Amino acid sequence: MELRCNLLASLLDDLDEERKLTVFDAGSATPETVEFFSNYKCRLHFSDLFSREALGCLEGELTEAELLNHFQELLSFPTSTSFDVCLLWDVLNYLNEPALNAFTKVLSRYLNSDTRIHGFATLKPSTPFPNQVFSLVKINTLKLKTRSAAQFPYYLHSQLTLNNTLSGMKVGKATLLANGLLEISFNKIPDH
Amino acid sequence: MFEKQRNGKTVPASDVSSDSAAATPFQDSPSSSVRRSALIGSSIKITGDVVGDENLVIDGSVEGTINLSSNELVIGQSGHINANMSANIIRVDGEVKGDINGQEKVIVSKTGRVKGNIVAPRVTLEDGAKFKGSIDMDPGGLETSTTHMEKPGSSLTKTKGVNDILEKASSDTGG
Repeated sequence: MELRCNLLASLLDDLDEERKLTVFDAGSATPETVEFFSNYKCRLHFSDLFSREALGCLEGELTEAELLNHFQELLSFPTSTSFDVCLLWDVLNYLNEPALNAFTKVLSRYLNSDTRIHGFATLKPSTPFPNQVFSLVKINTLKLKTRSAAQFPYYLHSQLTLNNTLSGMKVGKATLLANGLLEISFNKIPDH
Repeated sequence: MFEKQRNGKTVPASDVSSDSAAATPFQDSPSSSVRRSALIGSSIKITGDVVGDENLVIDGSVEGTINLSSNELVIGQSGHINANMSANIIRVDGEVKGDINGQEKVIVSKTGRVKGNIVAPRVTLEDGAKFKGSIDMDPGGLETSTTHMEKPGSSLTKTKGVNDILEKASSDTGG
């Protein structure tokens, strides 16, 4: 299944092809996403946050310090790393509020005021939240495939909750898509 | 080390491999159809540095480094590599923990599992491939990288201290 994403297109349409891009992908590496960025001089970081290693331990109660430590281990990039593009897909929905805060607190260290940050949320509990893998096919098109692994517990966050919980970034623009997903671009908050 | 007795004669490693996978590791590479490959079999374990000037297929285990410079390297489905590696074209069908540097191209096939960083002008992940790490691509850098490949000093694939580091794996490794 393919999903048209106009916000994503607006984030990616003026990428500088001459400059080396640094891209963060919260998911696992997919053939389509690698192929898409093979047209650019770039460094892609795949963190595979949808793995059991990353999400499995969040099912227990962790302190704030433990959560920070967990995400620091998962997002251990060189300190000089600064992402131009940040593809979060639907990972925010797999993090409860404390985990969401810790994750974005660590991630925001690698963001700058020009980082293009993209993700999805689901607002209505009635909207089924599919267990799927996102791949970037074209600048405005994602490919959705059913994830083979079992789905982790997920959480529905309103835009208000996201803005109150995220650390170092906030919702910029949001568009409700036909399948019920809310497509969101985020902005880095200065001085974070 | 990579030589074998055949009818009482010692032959170079490049003449040893007779299986089709080893003989033509890159189906999409015209040059590979005429270049044969040395083979590290599935029961072989190597700890050390593997360097050479010919194509190589690894079905066994290597821990250390692998540097084939301007040649092609295939990590077979039964290959287990815990090493940083460098070659002109690298195809991973097995398991690799380490950094991969391809001067022309790196391919992680549908059975490939890589944990590490890949640097190459072109990188292809096939559907089903498992990868965790970073990928550094520069599609415009292909010409530069291929014109600056260093010439290795050896004409045959070799390892350091082979008597110490090459061991015939016991049957429990199972390849």
